[in-house]
Amino acid sequence: MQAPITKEELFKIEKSKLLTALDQNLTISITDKFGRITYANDSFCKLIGVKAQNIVGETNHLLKSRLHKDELYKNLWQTILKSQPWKGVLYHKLSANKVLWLHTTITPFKDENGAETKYLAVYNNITDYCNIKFSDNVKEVKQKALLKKISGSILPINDRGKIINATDEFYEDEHHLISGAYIFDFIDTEYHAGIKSVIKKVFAKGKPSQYQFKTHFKNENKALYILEIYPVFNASNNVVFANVSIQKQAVDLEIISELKGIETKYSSIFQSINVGIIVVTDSKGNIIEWNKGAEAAFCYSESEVLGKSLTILMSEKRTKHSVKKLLRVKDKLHQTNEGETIEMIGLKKNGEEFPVQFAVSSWYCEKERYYCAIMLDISKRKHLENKLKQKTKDLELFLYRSSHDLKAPLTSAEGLLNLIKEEKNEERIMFLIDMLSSSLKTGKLLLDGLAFTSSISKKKRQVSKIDFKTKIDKIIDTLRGLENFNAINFDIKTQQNTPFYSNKELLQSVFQNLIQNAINYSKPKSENFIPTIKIHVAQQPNEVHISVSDNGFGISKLYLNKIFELYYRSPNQDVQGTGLGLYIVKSIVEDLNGKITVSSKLHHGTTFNVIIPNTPKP
Amino acid sequence: MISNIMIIDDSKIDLFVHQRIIEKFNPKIKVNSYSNPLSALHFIEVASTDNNLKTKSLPDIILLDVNMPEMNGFEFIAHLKKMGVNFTKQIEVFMLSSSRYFKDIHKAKKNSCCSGYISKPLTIEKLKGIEKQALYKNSNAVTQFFLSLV
Repeated sequence: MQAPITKEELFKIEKSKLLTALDQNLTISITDKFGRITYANDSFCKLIGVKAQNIVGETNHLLKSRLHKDELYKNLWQTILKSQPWKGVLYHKLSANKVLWLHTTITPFKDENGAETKYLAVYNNITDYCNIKFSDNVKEVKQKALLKKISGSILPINDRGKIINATDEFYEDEHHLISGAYIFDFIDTEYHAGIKSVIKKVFAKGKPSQYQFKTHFKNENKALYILEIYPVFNASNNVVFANVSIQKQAVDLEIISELKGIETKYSSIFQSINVGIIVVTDSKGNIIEWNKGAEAAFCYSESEVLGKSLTILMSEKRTKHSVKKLLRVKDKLHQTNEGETIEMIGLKKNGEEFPVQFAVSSWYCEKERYYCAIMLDISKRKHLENKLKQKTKDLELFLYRSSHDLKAPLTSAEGLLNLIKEEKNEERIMFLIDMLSSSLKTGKLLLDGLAFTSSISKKKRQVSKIDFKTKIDKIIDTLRGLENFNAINFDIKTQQNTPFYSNKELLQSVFQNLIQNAINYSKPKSENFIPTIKIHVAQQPNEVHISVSDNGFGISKLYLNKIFELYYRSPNQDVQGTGLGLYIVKSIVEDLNGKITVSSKLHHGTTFNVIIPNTPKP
Repeated sequence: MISNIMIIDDSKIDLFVHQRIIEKFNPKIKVNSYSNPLSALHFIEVASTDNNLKTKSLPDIILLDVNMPEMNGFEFIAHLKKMGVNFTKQIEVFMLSSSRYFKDIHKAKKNSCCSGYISKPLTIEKLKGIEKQALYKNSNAVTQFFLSLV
């Protein structure tokens, strides 16, 4: 007869049944206080893929060593060592691409004799759930976390930022994450454009470059990173790949203050440069930096332009054209990183326009792209350019006209000689010879005039004191031989208080040509008409105003703008001029930085007004 | 045959020389000389509207200086054209200049109203050439033939 089952026995059986059921359905391990496994059920062995006999006595990697530094495990061990239960999610990496997420409950208990504490861990595999929910996130978090790891080491990348090969210093799993990944995977999206641009630049130019960005992890302050890229060349000097190193910048107060100092220094240099016009804009073309030079050139103060579009600095008439030009440069900058120098018309605050030349450069600072335009006011250069063009034109005309006009008296002489050769009558020969000599005289005058014209620039440097009164008297005296001279009434007024310095010969030529013209084109005297030439000189401290006016034949409006032209000769008079006189006068006045204007009324007379600056000896 | 020549040149010496040479070439030729192209234009305008004067005084040939102060030879031709003068049939225009500058010659050649380019000084030989061309053109009705005597 079987002994009846006692209550205790029944309980024992129930308990063991329960334990067996639990053991079959849960994933359980028992660990000693050193983290070694003393018991693992089948489910556990299955989960981590190890046989039970191989695992007992080994360290439970799921719990890691309590010496492990990670916050999570530290907390875990601290809790259970105080004999308190712990609950949390543990992460376990089985292999390169297999991870486990385990919801774990650890309960400390003492064995029968109450001496040794053991830890019962019950695992609940939540990997599938986690994989669905966090897979992408986890990877990103992991990779971002890896930024810490890769900072300090050197990674080779290709021109698209792909990491070609990770060095051996990484753990296998990290190696997997790093190798074949893109450098961008480790960095916040907002910096990607900037880094792309830097990489492009390095590969295109073969020069090292750097880029800074910030990033932060949970519970940490933002950290500053500097990414440096060095190109690596092959034998034919092409960039094959580039080495990237990312360095976390230790930001301490000393460095910050040093940086502040540098920033202040550069910003004050930038602000105070007043020679070059420097304008910095953001990627939308809005002005964000404005220096003294820009202020002086465009007359806008800093506060007036900051935040405004760059287009307010462009000539309204040409905004469209200018923007087109700018966009072209921008495109080129983006493609090749090479700026181009362009010219356009700038617009001042007061509406005045002026030509500017500018070079555009661009860079990324953290996540924003910036453009800097360094401009030059080229008004002066443009002015000189135009002057040079005009001079070249003049010179061409000069050569052309010279070849013609120098020849004219000679061909006349040739024609006359042909006639003389065949002429028998002595009287007629004498007549022809007279014409010949007049023709040759014209030629000689022309050559003298040309020789003088070519010496104007050289002469202007020889400066001496000029007394207008005596100078004018002398000139008039030399013109005594001209027709109608004696009939003319000269009205000379000179007002000169301070000494005037200029070149004697050049001024003499100006007076002589103007007065000679006035005499040549004077009308004859009659009962109620007296030909008069007024010569007025009024000196001001810095310049002299000269006016020579006559009441002679005057110049028709048709020809008034032609009279200063080279070889222009008055049509209706008998005077055989060389066509050089007024050209010489204009050349001299312009060479002395003066001005000459003419006004005339046909049959009433002509007035020339000349202003010449005083050029005292240095 | 040439019966009437108009010479336009701002140089009075040249006008004189041209006149004498033409005289020597053929004293029967009537010569009208103008030192001012505007006066010459005016004359042509008047003469071409007056039927009596027309046949008598309009020139067969104009010898035209290129460089003149009021208007240059090419401008003169443009004015004539505006007036409706039928070139090469009524009047033949020859440029007469001291310049042998190729651009001037080229410009004259390109101008359909210009029959030739002759360099100064005018000589009897050059006048012979001009006459020859005038005759040739009349008999053959050639419209464009350019005489270059430089």
